[in-house]
Amino acid sequence: MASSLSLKGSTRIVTEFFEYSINSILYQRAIYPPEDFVTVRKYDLNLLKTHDDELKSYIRQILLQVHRWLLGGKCNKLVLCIMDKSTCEIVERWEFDVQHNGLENCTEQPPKEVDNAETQKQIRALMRQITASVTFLPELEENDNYTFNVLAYTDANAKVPLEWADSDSMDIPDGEKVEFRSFSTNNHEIRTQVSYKMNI
Amino acid sequence: MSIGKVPVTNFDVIEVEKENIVPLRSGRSAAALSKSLKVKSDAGTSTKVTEIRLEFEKRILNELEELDDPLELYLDYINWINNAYPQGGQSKQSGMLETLERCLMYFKDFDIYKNDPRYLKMWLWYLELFAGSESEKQSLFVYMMRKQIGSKLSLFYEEVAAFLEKRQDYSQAKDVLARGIESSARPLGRLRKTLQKFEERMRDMSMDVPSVPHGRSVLDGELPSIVLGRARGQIEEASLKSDPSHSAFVKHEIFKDVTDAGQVSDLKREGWDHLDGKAQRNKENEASKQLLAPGVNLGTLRQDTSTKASVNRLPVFKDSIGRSGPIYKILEIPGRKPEKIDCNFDLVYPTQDQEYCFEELLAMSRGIYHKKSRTKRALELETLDAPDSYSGEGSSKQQKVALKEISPPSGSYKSSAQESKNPIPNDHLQEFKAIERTSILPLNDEPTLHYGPQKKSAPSSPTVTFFSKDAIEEVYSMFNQNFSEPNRHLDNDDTTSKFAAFENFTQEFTRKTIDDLTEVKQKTQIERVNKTPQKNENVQQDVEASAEISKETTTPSYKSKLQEYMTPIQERSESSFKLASNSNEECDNEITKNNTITNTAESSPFLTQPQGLQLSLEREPLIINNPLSSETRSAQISSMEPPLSAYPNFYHYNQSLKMSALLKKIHTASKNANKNPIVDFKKTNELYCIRSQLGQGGFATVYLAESSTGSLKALKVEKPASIWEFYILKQVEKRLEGQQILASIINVDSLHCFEDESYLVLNYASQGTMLDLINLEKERNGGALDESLCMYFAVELMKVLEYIHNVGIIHGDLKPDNCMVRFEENSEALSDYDSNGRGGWDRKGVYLIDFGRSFDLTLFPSGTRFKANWKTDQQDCPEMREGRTWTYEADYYGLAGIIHAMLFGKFIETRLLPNQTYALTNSFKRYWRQELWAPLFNDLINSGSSSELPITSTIREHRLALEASLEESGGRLRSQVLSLESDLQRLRK
Repeated sequence: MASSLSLKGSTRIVTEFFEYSINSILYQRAIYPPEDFVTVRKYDLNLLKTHDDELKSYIRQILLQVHRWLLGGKCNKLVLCIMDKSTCEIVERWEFDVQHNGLENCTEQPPKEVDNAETQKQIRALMRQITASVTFLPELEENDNYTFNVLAYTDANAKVPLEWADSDSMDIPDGEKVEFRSFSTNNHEIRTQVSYKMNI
Repeated sequence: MSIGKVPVTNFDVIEVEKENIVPLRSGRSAAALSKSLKVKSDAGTSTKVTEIRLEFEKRILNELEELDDPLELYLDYINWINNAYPQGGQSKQSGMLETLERCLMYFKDFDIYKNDPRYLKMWLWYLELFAGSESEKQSLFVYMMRKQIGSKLSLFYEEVAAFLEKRQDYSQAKDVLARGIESSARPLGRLRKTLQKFEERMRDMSMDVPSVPHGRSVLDGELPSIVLGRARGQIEEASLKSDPSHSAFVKHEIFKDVTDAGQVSDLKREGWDHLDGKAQRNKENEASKQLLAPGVNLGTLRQDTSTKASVNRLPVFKDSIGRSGPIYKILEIPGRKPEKIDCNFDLVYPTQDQEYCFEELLAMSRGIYHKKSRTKRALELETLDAPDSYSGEGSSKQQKVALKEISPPSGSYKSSAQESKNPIPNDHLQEFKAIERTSILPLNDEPTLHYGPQKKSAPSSPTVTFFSKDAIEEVYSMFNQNFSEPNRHLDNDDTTSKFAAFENFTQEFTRKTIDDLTEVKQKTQIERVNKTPQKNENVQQDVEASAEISKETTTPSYKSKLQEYMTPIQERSESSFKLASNSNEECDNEITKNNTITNTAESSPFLTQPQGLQLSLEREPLIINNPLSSETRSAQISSMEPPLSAYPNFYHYNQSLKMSALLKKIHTASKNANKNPIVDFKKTNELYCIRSQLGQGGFATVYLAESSTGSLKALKVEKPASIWEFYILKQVEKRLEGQQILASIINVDSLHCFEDESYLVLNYASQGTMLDLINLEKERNGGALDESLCMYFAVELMKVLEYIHNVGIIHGDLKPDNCMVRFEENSEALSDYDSNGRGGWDRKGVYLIDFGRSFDLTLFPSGTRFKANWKTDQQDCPEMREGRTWTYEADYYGLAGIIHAMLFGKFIETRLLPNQTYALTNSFKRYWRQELWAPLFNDLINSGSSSELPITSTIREHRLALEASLEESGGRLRSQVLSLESDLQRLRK
């Protein structure tokens, strides 16, 4: 099938999705001031992307490594934690589960053929949901005392560069959980979930 | 994993309702949300919601007094409302308002709750949801302060300060924070930090925050006047009296509209005790609603009041003269549209044979008419000289009425015809005489002189006379010559054409009449000239003054430039004569019709005399009805000097080729087959191998052809054979010889003209037409061309137009498809934009192609205008579309069309404004250089209404403005051109 994607292309889609979803979340959750973001057209949607160089390179650095891991099938989960700076409390935890379908070593089931257009549609729906999540997520106060962390769940045998440190899972105890739409490419299936805490 | 324990909500459930969910500051529980949404979607579950609500209410009623923490019950209740009604607490059915108010009022006097953060949050929640205006918010804050609600909590001070800061009431905000610290609100550390941050912000904004004098704080209970609208003294007085009945001091009350809260409440020293519910506070703003109850027939009641209301509507002001409305009369003239005349005919014609003018009527209405006129009438009857006093004029008209009674209409008319200076033009001799007499008359120096006899002429129909008599006579007395015209029509009783004459006249008299007058002065000369027909064109054309002035001086300036290579005038005059008679034969009917009906002003007796037929045709601006007709052109070409056959690269074959049909067939049959047809031009020994079809027009098809030397050419095959375009292109080439601008006009190689077909060999412009470019850009960016590119192409096109108009060529068919992109290869790198063409810019631009509809104005007498006889569309200028005559307008509108297409990505559309000018239907984007585009479009579209054509100088001004703007932002254009260039390159492959 001409429109199906190779592992490389599929990984690129996933990494790209991570980039845009992280940017989106950072904007929607007001972790960075809105003036740091510019609108870009992606997935047929108007998405916001930071133009702050520091943040850009930070995200880039993370995603480069994640990309490598994904290519090797070493990464099965990416987590974006939003953390209160003052109390070091996790207030939101965005979780992206990565399932590797089409790898050689797990050939129990034949890889599904997923149309590229279908993938784009699914991503679009997911992006919309991320945007719409502000309807139930608590308002994070604007006085920039929140920051974010990215956790990657990798295989034990994965090579980890020095910049990455081990960490606990940073779960939110008794948090509400909301499952988003998933999307899949030929080789990957991504499931998204957010857990958060009502601050009453 | 621990995550597994928590139920995971699927967002899909929530997403469908996402617009109906009001985000809460504290967030919503997704689980609860999905549950309530599910409940909502289930049918008949609204009862369940009411059940729970009832449950809460019951508990509040029964248990509230017994509970340890009654606030908790309310919190639960309110939380439940929040979850059960995702559409938000502000919605009516949620009942949030009532519940909240009940809760707030219940706890307001509980000392233990006053500084309970939950209670304070509830208050803030209430403020956020329901405090509509700032003043309302402020008064609520004051109320809280007075009730000491939250006065020990930092949150309260922070909220108030944030509120005040938002209102830019910085000093008050600072004061509030300071107060909080003073009263050691909890958590004090945070409050201190807030104050510190606030001060930092103020410093950042370099704002000097004056401290608030003591007792002037917004929250200060000592200054209730802001809030309560009552002077402090009165409050004290009132509180001393401690009289709860507010009626006692109602009369002292000075109302201030800041406050809509708490007037009714009982006042105590520490503040007002009771806060009315929102509904109560706002009751003045709400129209009281009456519920429909069964059995009560509100319908008829409604009806009744509504009609009453319509009766009581404010009456439209009417002045007290007592007329009911505008009075008008509709004139029914058979064969025409009924005409509406806005005046009271009954007043003007009180009886069948009486007529009053407006001044008379005015005089009558003032009661001064009859007295004076009666005295003067006797005088009037004796002295025919019209006195010039106001009343005298009126009476003179009276007298005229009397005369009318005596003489029958036809008779009176005849007499007037004889007396008038323009008899019916049957005899030329008489005609000339008549003109001589009238033309001597000055421009209406002594109006009364003419009035006398002319007024005697009774109108053939009284209705028409009213409208036209005075007015027309007055106008015609200024331009006496034409006066005969309406007279003649009157003779036929053709009132309509008389009006037409009048209308035409007012439109055109400015120029025409002057011409006519001068013409008459040369009467003798004309007679002489008629005997020597060779020279007569001089006279005809020379409208200015003497016959001695050579024609060149009066014709537009381009002619002088052309003198060297233009055909001599004498020779040309013959040809144009031929042409004139040609076209005259063709459209003889048309012209004569014009003369009798629409163009009566022009068809003055002088002009319609049979002897001067040729003269008359030349005299008025020549209108050529089908300028593209082969007769016209062949006449022009055959009379050309030097003949076309003398042109280099013009090859005429006395045989037919019958090739075009073959070409067409091959190309429709097999587009990519290798059986490319070959055209063999014997005279030059050239072989052209047809590669593909480039485009197709009405008569012509353009093919891409490869010559035997391998160069690519465009081959325009026309059937039947046409040499016109070749002629025009050659003329352009010749007239613009050596000028840079020639690069912007498609270069013609040769013409092979067979008996049946013609083959025009043109240079091949490979980069496509402007239309291709626009479409490419649409695909590329989904929009129109970048503005700077539009400007650049506009400038290039304007340059070309200026040049070709200067040499008397009208392109006649400018549109995006007739204009090609010219991005030639450049050895050096392209610099920033340079209007002089340096830095490689001379190699970028446009080609004009397709001169098949073009005109060589030098072949026509000056002032010639054209009329389109082909089917027109929105891309043709309004003059063409409306069947009016045009010349340069076609090109200006065409240029506007191209620029429009580039700028908007759509074809031009115009609409007629009420003031008879045209405007674009589409409006400019906000960020475009509207100050450049708007006037440019305006001038281009409305070129027909400009006083003098061509408007080359105006165009040049616009062009210079555009160039200046381009040079300002030269880099942008450069990058646009470069990216476009590479895209075009790719497109070609």
